Amino acid sequence: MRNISIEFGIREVPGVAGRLDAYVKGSKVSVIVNFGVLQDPRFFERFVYRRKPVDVPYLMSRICGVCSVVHLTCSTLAVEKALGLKHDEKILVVREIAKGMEIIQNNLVHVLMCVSDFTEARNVVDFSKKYPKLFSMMLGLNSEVLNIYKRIGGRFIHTPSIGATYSGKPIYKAELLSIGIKLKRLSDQFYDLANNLANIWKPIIPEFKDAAPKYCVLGGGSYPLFSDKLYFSDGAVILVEDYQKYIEEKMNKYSNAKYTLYKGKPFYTGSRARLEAYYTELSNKARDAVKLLDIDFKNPFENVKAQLVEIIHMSSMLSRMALELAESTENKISPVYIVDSDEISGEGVSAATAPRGVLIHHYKILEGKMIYANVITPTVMNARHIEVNGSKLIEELLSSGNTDETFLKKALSALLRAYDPCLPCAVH
Amino acid sequence: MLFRKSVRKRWLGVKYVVKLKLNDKEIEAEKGKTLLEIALENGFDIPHLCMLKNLYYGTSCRLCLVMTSRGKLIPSCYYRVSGDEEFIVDSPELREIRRVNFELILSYHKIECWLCNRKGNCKLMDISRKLGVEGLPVCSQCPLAPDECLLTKGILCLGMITLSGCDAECITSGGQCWGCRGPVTREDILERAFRRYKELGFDLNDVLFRAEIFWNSLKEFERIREVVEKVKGDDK
Repeated sequence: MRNISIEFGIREVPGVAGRLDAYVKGSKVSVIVNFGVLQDPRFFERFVYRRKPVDVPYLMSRICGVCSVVHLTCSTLAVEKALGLKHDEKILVVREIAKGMEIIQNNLVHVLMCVSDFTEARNVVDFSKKYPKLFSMMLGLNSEVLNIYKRIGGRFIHTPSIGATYSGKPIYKAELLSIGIKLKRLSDQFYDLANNLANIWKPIIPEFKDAAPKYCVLGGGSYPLFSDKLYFSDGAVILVEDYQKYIEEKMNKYSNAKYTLYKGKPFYTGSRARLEAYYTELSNKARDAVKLLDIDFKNPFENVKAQLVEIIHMSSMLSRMALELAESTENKISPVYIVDSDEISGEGVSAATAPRGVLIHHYKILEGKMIYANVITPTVMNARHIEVNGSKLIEELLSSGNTDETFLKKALSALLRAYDPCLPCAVH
Repeated sequence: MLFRKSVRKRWLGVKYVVKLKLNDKEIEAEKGKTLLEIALENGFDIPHLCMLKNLYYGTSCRLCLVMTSRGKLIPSCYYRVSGDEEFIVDSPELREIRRVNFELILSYHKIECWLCNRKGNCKLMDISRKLGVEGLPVCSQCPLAPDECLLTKGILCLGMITLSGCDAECITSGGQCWGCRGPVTREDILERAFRRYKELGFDLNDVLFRAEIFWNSLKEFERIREVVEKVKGDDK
């Protein structure tokens, strides 16, 4: 048997938000893949130190322009927990709808960014030429989602209106009704999109299984968007306050982002994990889409399909939530505010379903000033899992006689993209 | 013939029409109308502040200046067309002249938009945006009435000391201002604003601490600190 040794790097993996380099070294028997996030670190956790708690959600929402809503809402919840504040249930539902809309938009854009991994198109531009109707359909749906979002949050990037202190605009019953009806219609359109994409779906690596099968999602309720519990696929349900006992954060020399381990082992999070954990809770249409797309939940490449199915489920779920909220609302839902106090001390941890997985915000407040902040983002949770799966992928490809470096690079890039890493979040 | 032809025509409702050329656009207009009215009807956006139709044509603001074909500046709100003429109603040179005139008006205006009932519906704000004059605080854009102001509810907002004109959702929906557009440049506005913060019971250090988020690297921030020190020193 010929001994093969390889060593190559991928500089700035295309199709991901931010700068990500990958480095591969090894032989047929063992391959090391480094997930190197080379985006500059931004020290958000440090510069909220000694700030007033009311400032923190706004600052934290600036971690990421793509998923700012989830940072804003998750941070607001953690601050409210620390300050001992409780709001009307309706405010929480409004936040859930806003966050759900973000998941829909992010997933849709990511499916579009990954088209080169599952169609014959070389990239998005090529896709727009080969499948112009499908391309314009996806862009049209995206702009419709953004338009609906504007009714709730004002603007999508660094949204000012959802949260505790920043909501200037009341949300009227008529708006909620309109959102509910539009989302219901969108759900059908998303199903059509999935149907069209299923016809042209040709994955690069169809047969691939996770090297580490554990995953993490939010626990409690049906498809929760905020929760006090974390659920791991080994059956463990932990309180989010105890996350530090189970999830350890570590640093690598070659990356500016941390990585996390659960009981010393890598795990993954994201749409694929959510769909697997809450399959029985999915809407009928979403379950049909799972069958239509033939999703293998143990294949990390299938995360893109899972995102597509999640869009269908999420739009019908949010439609129901908006209509129910409209029914229970008399006229409008008024904004709420936190007023500062120098005497309050406390600790708050909150977890939310971000588009890319589970997001945790943890704060400690002493006499009205923030003295500790810790944020764990989904990309950080996935980081080690990506490396382990990357190694397995290259090993398998080498074993099957695929030694072409261009193909290996393409396959590895597709794997990295499938996780939808968000690098500004990773180096927060 | 008992009356002249023109008088007979006026009685019969016949209007005299003159041919005008405004910025290379040839138009026909009724004789006797003001040039400003004609220009506005034909889609030219000439800023004007003092003219009130049928009430006041005092040419006080000098914002509606236009240029004749001989290069003479005339106030268009006062000038009534009488014959076929040519005017330049919009050019970089005219805009610069109008901007200077507007800055002069603004320098005499005691800007306290946070206490003004016209805020959110402010003509000064509209014109300053059109002419590219910056100097009004965000409060001029805020839709909340003075008695609904977030500051009166104890919620810190940097609207009083931040430049307006961003049209951002946070401002137009009546939310908090975080100062991302930068501070107002006029010291008298800053002084009045910080006095107002003090009146409302805010710690000025807290205001500065919040302003640091976006302004820490600005040169003007040092000047703002000086203004704060001055306002703090008023008590002593």
